[in-house]
Amino acid sequence: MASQLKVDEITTVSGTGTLKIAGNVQTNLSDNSSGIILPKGTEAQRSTAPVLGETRVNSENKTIEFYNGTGWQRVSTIPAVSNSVVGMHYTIFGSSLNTSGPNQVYQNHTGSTLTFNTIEANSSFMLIADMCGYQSGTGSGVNIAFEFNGIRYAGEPGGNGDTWMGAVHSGISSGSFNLKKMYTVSPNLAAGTSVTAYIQCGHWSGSGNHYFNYPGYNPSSTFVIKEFVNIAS
Amino acid sequence: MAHQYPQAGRCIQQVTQQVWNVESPTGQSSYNYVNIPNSNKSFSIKETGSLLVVESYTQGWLASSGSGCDATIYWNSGSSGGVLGRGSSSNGNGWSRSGNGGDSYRSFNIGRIHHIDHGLTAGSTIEIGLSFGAWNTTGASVNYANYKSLMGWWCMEFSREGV
Repeated sequence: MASQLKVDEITTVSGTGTLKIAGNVQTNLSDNSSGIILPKGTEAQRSTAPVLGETRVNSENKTIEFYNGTGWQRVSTIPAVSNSVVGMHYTIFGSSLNTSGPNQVYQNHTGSTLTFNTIEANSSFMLIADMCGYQSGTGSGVNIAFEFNGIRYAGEPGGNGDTWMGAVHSGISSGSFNLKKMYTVSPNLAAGTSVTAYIQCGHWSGSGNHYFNYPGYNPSSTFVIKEFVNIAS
Repeated sequence: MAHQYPQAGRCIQQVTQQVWNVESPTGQSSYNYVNIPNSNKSFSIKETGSLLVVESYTQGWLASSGSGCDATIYWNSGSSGGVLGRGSSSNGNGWSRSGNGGDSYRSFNIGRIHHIDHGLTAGSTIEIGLSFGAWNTTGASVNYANYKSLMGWWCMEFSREGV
């Protein structure tokens, strides 16, 4: 037969030590308009002999913390932000691209192609390229840009050769290059949108060869796309 | 021995800044780093004692003077911050991240990754920007003759707290 005990305060006989609810019982605080008030104090006031699972409020940083057996661990109230790799060539992608031909024109490096479906709506994308190559028999400069969902980003306009000198230059007829570029785009796409992206490659001028990934070598060009929400840009 | 952050798992904030066609910084001298205009941004730290990881990408130009150059990031200033991973002021070779003594008329393109142990409390403001230096001349710049340098940085704040 159930019984009720109505009191305003419970303590041990000595007023200290551990107040224990014995037996395999479930504690049910049925009032839905109030909450448990945990013990609170400064870090200096922590128990000198804590036990695993002991939980309190740290009054210095206003967070809940518990003893994990070796130290006090805070329970973070800050949610993680979305940060997902949605496409990457983490070592080498595809074949070589020689942009010999029109000057100051970007071409899609088809070997760099990444296709993926967006995860979130209205998210942002970080495009990161690390492109190796070699130019021979020409004095020129090279550069890279991105094509993302049919739009070019981070590509210098034509008409001024100086804007193309992302690496190497007119005084260097033959030489290796390494271009690193990062760009954030916020194209306002719906979740689940299929996106195709490329690294675009181009050169300033000259009739020689501009190899993005030199043929026959094993360069380590990479292309990574991360999808974000809540990025401050 | 490398640093280890066993509880640095969750990304709780990300901030980026990218700039086009920035002006070359002023005040450049030998072994000196100067801030790149408009490359900075300030934001609030989300969590006390968190870890920041910053990637930076910088392009520019070695002009007519032979030199070597470097580019990196700075945060805040004074004793609590400063330029990260700077070249040694007593050894010019430490500056040869791109180019070298005797090099001229070359472009440079520098990507770096740094972490920041900021030691700040939640809500504190932190400023991050790009920094640029030359070895022994003033012949390096980040925007030479309409050179439209694209450069920027990307900061991720990671929690060191429990889940």
